[in-house]
Amino acid sequence: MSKRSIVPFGPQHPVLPEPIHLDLVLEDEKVVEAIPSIGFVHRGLEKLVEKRNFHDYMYVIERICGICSFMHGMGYAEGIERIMDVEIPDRAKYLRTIWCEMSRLHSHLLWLGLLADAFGFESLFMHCWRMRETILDMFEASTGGRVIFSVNKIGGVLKDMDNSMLRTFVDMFDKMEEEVRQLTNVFLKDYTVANRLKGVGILTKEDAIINGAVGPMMRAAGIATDTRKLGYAAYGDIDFDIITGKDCDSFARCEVRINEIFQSFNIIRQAVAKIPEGPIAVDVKGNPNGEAFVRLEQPRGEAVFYFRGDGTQFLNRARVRTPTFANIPSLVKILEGCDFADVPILVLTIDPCVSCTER
Amino acid sequence: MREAYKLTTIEFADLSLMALEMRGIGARLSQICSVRTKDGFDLLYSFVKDYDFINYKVSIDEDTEIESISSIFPNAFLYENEMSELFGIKIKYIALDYKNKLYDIAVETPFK
Repeated sequence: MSKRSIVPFGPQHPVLPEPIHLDLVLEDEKVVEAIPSIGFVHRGLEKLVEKRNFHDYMYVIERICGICSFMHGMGYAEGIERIMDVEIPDRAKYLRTIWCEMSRLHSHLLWLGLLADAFGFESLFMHCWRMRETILDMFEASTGGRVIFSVNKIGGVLKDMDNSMLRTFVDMFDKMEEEVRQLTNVFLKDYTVANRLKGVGILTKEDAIINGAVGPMMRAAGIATDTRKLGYAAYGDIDFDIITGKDCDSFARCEVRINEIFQSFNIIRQAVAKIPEGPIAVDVKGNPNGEAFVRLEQPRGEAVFYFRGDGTQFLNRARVRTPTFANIPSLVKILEGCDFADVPILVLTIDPCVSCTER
Repeated sequence: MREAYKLTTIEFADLSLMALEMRGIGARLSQICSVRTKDGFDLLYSFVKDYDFINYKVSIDEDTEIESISSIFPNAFLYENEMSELFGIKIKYIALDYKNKLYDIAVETPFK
C-alpha cells in the first residue's frame, strides 16, 4: 500500500521564482492533489483607485507587474478611453502594438531562461537572458525605462519613436531572430529538454476550457484563441496566425512560446512598415462616467480589465483579472498525477507571475 | 477596433441556471468580480465562447447569500473566495473555501 504524505511547497523555495504555496498530497512519489495558496504579498492596488485621480492611477496600475507593466497601463488606458469614448490617433495604436510585442518578446525570453535554469541548462539560461537584456535596452532607448515605462496616457502615448529608431530596432530584431533560431534548436531538438518536458503535465482541451486556462496554456492544448485577434490597438491591421500546440504537454507550451517569439518579430516588422505619421495623443477632458470591460493578450494570456466611474475624478472600481490568476486552476489540474520531481517544471510551465496575481 | 460584448442583468436566483447554460454551450469562465454599490454589490460574471465575451450582472444587497458556481466551473473557487474575503459577500458551497484566508491582509473586507 502506498504511503500518503503532505508536502508543503513554497512560498519560499529554491526552485520557485515567486511566492506561491502548494500543499502537495503525495502517494509515494506521485502527487494526487495540490491545494494552492496565494496572497503572501497582496498589495491592494485595485483599492488604491478610490484615492487616486484617474489620470494618476495609470502610474499605479502599471506597477502591477514588472514584466507586463506596459500592457497593464495600456489596458487601463483602453478601458478609460472606452468609457469616455475617446479615439486615439492611429500612430499611437501602432506604437502601443510595437511596445506590446516587445513586452511579449522579453517575457517569453525570460521564461525560456527560467525554464532552462530549472532543468539545469545554465548556458541556455544565460543566452536567453542576454537577449532579453537587448530588448530592455531598446525599451530604455524608446521609453526611458527598463521595467516601468510610463508611456501610456489616456488618449494615446507620451513618447514617439522616430523612423530611424524604428529601423534600428527592426535591424536588431533581424539579428536577434537568428540567435533565437539557434536557441530554438536546443529547446526543441535536444533530447535532455524533451525528456523533461514531453508527456509531462498534460492539460487536455476539455480541461483547459473547464479550468479557464488562458494564453499559451490554452493554445498548447490545441485551442486556437488569441485576444489580439479582437483587433485592439493596431492588431486589426496586422496579419498573423494563431500559434497552437497539439500534444497538450509542457513541451507543447514551450513550443508555443518559442513560436510566439518569431511571431512577435513578424508583427513588429509589419507594424513598423505600416505605422502612419501623425499625432500620438489627443486631449481628454472630463471624468469617466460609466463602465467598461477590456481584454488584452498579455504574454501569459488573456487579461481582463474592468473599470467603473461615476463622473468624478476617482473611479469606483478598477479590476484586473491577470492571466496567472486564471491559470492557477489549470496548474492544480496538471499537478494531479505528476511525479513529485516534476512539480517545479510544471509550476514554471504556466509562466507564473505572482506579482500580477497579488495586484 | 473595440470589442463588442454583451452585458445582461439577471436575478441572483438564476445564477446556477446561467452557469449551467454557459457550461452547456462550452464557454469558459473568464472572470468574476464585484463592485460596491450604494445598496449592496454588483457581481459581474464573464464567460468566453470562441471570441464572444458574454457578461452577466447580478445586483444583490449586503445580506444576500449566493450560491457558488464552483461545482459547474471549478475555476470559480478563486474568484468567489476573493469576493468573499475582500467584499464580505456571502457565498455558500464554494468547492475550496479558504474562509477569508486567501489573502494575507490586515484589513477585514476592505472593499465593503
